[in-house]
Amino acid sequence: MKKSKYSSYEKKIKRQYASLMVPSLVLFTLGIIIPIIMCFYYSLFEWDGFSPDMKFLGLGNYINIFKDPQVMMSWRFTIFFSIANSLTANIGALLLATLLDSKIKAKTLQRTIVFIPCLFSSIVTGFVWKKMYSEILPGIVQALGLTINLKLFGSQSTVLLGLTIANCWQWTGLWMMIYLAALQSVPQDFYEAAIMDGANAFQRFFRITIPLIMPAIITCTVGLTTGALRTYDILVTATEGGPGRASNTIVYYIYNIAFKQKLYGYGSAISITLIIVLLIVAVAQLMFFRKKEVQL
Amino acid sequence: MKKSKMLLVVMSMAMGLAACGSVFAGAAETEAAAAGYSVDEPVTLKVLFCQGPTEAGLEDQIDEAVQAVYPNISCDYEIITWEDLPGKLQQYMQSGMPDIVVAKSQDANNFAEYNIWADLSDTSYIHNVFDSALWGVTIDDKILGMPYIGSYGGVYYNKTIFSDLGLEVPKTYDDLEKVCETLKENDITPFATHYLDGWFHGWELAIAGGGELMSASETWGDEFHDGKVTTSDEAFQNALKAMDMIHKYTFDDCYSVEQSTCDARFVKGEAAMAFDMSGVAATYMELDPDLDFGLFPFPTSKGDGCLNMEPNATFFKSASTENDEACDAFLSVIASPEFAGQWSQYVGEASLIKDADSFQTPAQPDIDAYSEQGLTRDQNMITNQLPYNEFWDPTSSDFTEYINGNITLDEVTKRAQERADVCGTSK
Repeated sequence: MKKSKYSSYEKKIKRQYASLMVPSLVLFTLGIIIPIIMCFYYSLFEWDGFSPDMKFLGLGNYINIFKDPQVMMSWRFTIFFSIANSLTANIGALLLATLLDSKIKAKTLQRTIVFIPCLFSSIVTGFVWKKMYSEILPGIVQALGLTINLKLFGSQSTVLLGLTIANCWQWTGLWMMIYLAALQSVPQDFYEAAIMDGANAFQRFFRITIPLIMPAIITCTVGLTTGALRTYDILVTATEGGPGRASNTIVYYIYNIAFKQKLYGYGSAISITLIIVLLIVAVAQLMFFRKKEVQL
Repeated sequence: MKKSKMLLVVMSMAMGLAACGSVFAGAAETEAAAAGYSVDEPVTLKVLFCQGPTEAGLEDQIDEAVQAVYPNISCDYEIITWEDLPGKLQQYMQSGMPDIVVAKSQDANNFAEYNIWADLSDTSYIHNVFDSALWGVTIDDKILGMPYIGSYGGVYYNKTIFSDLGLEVPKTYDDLEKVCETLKENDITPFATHYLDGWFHGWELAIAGGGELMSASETWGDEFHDGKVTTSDEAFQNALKAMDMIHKYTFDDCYSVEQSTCDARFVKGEAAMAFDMSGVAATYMELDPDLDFGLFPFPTSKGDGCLNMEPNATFFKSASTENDEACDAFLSVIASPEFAGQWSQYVGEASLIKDADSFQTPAQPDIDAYSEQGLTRDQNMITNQLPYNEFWDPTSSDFTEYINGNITLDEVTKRAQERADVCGTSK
């Protein structure tokens, strides 16, 4: 007779663990899975989101996505914004964490100052930077007698830079804290041994620190990328997708399509494509970075 | 003797204090008595309030006025911006509508087909509103909202600059071009604009462009929907030319500038004109009480431009409210001339309630003159046929792409044509 893989005690423990997961699974199902299923259902219809009349289109909305130049335009900006933000914020957060983990004065205060912006709502951040770029920074530049154009939200060629600065200003502190925790978990023995072997600071950083904090790098990279791909709220108050449509992200476009232009079914279809893209990006990043992980 | 005299004094003081009470108690009570509403049980009305920047804090004044007359009515406010209204209404249509919604008059037409607004035709307070303002909220002979504030949109101009340079108010595009060239020769930028505010471009196109379309035909939007006119026709092309002209004669950094900078430029005389809504008038007066400014309609090709009157803050009662009597009682207080006058003074715009102490600006004589000549137009005439969110807003974004060199004017025209299905009052 084949013996069960687990003893009855182990099975009991597993059942207890599973029962602890039930509440979060219920919430996940109600809050994430069911809305995604409903979204897919609505994407098969022509519906304005208000009336009880829904006209079945099948995959018609999905076909329209490929015919709509504004979808491609929104995706292009979203991808560029995502790359710019995830690179800038990631590198910035790691460098700041490295600096604030070293022996400098007023470390705690400096960490707090860097962290505070992420406590603001993105709506507030958008308001603040809109004022900064339209009045405050140009006023300072003018007072100094300089001719630098800092009205970054006013031109399609600079709006990406302006939003990247605003977004990184807000979120770098949060990711810095994750890197700080990771840096503080690296055993000092490795650095001491490396110093004895004659490794310089750069070598210690790239050969010891980076491999050992790879889980944090994965977390931050995936989080920054998927977060940037879903950017919406900062745009509401900063640029409203403008000038024209120059800073229209895909989520902002979905909002306009679904709620302003009352094309709820079409907006749902674009949302489903966004979900698929986000899944692909997250899985690809996880697979890429997993190989680079070093287990202690 | 002393004690009785003291008692008399105290009683007189008490009566005096009671008479001073709330400013609204006396007049609004009269109004309420005439209206004949009774609210005997405590009730909390849910109010969805689309607020602009000048309306912040009005909910406290509403509470004070309403409770002075109907102590049993309290209000639970949800404050949003008008841009968020469609999403909110979508949510509430599924989960239960608020009792009162304060939005814009164009929302009567925007949401009429979903039957969410109550018919106010038979209420007593609706007749406090100027008859001319009720046109835009009357759908299929039902008055679906109570317009409250009138926002006059047109070209605000610096009368001193115009007078010094001998300029006259332009009526056609040629006149406007001459005025702009004269201003430029005198190192004055003709137009102050603020395209960093996303709504502004769409509004400008709706009013300037829409005015040109209405000049061609007052049913242009319906004809467009029915395929009788197209965006390639002269009227729409002239509408685009109007926008081109404003862009040609405004500041280079117009897309980096928001309302406050635009207002400052106008008040300081850096720009001679500002095409905007009447909410700016109060700002101009605050920045420079001595500024002499006027208002004229944006020109058209035929020279028959009209001042745009947007019935802005508009009160709607939910068709599914369970507090019908309380809602009517609430609205009867709002519609009293005394409270309407206070609201008008607070937001710095004209009241649409008869006999209200309406906010006055230096441009009022111009508004009155154009009204007497029949040269004002209810904005709903434009937006009921050509809806803002589905037509003007995306078309203005297309126009900005043209300004940025991404697409041609032909492409703007073509994209606008593709929106014919969403236009027309009977779509």
